[in-house]
Amino acid sequence: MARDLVIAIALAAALSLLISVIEVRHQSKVRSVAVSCRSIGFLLYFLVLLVGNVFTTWAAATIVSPYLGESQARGVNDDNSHKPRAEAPKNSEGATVLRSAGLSGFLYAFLGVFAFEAVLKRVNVTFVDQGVLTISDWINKARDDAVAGAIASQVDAQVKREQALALKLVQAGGISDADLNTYVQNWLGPARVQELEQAAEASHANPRLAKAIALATGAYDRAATLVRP
Amino acid sequence: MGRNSLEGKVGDTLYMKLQIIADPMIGTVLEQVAKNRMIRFGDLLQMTDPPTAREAARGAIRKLRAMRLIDENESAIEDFNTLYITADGLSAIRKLETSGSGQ
Repeated sequence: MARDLVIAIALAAALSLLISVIEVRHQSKVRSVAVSCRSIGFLLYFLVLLVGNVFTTWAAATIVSPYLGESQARGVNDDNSHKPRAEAPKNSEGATVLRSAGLSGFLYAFLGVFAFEAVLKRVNVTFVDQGVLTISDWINKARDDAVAGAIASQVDAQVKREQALALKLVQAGGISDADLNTYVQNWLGPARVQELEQAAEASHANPRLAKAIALATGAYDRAATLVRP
Repeated sequence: MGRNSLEGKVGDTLYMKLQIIADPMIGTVLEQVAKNRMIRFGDLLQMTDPPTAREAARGAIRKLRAMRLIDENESAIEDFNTLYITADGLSAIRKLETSGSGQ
């Protein structure tokens, strides 16, 4: 039982991680796993799922193990192991197969994660309009934070990527002023060159860099071809 | 009436509904940003139906940012500013959908 419980909890933890990644990626529409999972919000969401799944897995193991007739079926309350087990059901063939193949842990994890996802996550107990056991709300809040964190990370990563490209465009070996103006005019619109020069002048900024940033922001894929070897 | 005083009395969801009733553009912008999760300002103007007037959209964005429902990453050209949904925005959208479906 103890070995199966360890396997079950490890599996529940792995499934929690998998579910958090899939959920946050899907909800945030951020493709990169690395970007979508590096916020504190993601960590908290994962921890909420982990605690819930581990608890329900442990509960599933405690409830189901007597039905599998394991020798240490009462492993979680071994102090009672000397008591007769007249109430334990007889071993079925399926239970024997599961046990002999060492698959009990998988069954507990599956049942535990299923119980958490299908039942416990939807629990919202209120008393006089006040939330008492609002697991659903807690998980939604944790997920919102994780999803928003992934989106903010994606925006941040995008800005850094565009700035890096802009710097490459204006650095030595990059494109000339005339070429830069031409690309800005063609890809971003005919009035953009003047607009950017005026904006840069008004804020004493570098007009060449401002145009390169605009190019990287507005037409990243095409601008990236200008610096490729 | 400021946000905090009203919020304290009627709650976030109702406050948002009142804002959206007062200025439907707020609902349109919030819906588009929430649907896309992140969107360029220029794309937002074109995706709304009918196409949104720039100034009206800017006003709605200012109000949504004040309510912390969306955030904005500014760029040299306004059309390339990135608008993105926040955790409060996601929660607000879910509450609005829930309260809407319950009616």
